[in-house]
Amino acid sequence: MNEGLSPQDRDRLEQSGRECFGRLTASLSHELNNVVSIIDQNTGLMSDLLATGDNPVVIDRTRLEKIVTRFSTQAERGTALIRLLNTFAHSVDEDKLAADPAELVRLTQSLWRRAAEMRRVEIEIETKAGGAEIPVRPFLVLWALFLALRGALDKCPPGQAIKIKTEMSSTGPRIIVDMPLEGAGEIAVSADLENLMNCCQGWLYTKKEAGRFAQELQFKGHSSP
Amino acid sequence: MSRFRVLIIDDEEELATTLVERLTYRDIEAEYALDGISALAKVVAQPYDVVVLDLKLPGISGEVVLRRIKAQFPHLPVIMITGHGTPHGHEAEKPEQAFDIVAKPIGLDALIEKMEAAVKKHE
Repeated sequence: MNEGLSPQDRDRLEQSGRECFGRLTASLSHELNNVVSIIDQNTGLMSDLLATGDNPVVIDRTRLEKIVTRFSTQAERGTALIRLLNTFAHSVDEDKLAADPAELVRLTQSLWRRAAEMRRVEIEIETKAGGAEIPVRPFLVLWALFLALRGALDKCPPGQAIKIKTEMSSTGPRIIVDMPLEGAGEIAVSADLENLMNCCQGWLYTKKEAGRFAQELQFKGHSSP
Repeated sequence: MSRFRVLIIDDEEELATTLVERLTYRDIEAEYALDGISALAKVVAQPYDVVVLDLKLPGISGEVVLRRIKAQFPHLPVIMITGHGTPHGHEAEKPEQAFDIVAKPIGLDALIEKMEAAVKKHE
């Protein structure tokens, strides 16, 4: 996929792909660690309550219900995180040669939720081009969005939102990462993102206007569902 | 009579509240804060013997909170918590001003031992 690049650019791009995979899985594993920690502490709390010395053990119903709710909430949260991790892991599968931009934008929103929360930034999505397909491996699109979002998240003012939209253009689907520019300073567009879009036979356009900054990932070719 | 006073700072509310509950059982007076701003307000408003602080917090990071606490209360010991998953990798994450660092999931007995050591050292 990267035949047209110099050896240095190719090495840097490959490193950026590894970084994308590493950072996103690390973020999910941190969150899973929180889930396990909460379950672990509540197991400990149950043991504390059982160790009161009373026989039979008397535990306040409201307190017990609260602990049960915590177990159930964290089990649901953990299940959702494992599904997310699994979907992301399979985005590199060799046999997957087409990607639905709307689905990948939804996945990106989930993958970036915690990082956005940490920076007090919202990631909003609008997926109009649902069902269209880009003839590239899903991971490449997630990687391109990683590169576009990484710079945007660092510069987006807290309390504001980054919008990711999918649209259909005459040449194919495009994904737009749009953010408020006010107070954000200069945003450096990733050279890796430009190289990656070339490798996907697509283009990267940037637009600065009316207090906003947009990175448009334009992909070539599509097939309707 | 409590053994000492601790402030737990972690954005995972269910973790923070359960820790507070379990520490209270052990005669340790514990309170919690879910972000750096409210944590700093609490530290200024009332005396604590030790602070347990998550490295990753929304808004102001744990490291910035640590620096601000140390700027005002240089003798208040702070134990960091990290979600770093590897068994030994978390030691490298310990900021210089922190008394110690523990990895999640937190073993309560080990945490209490560290808190006691921190309080004793700073008495």
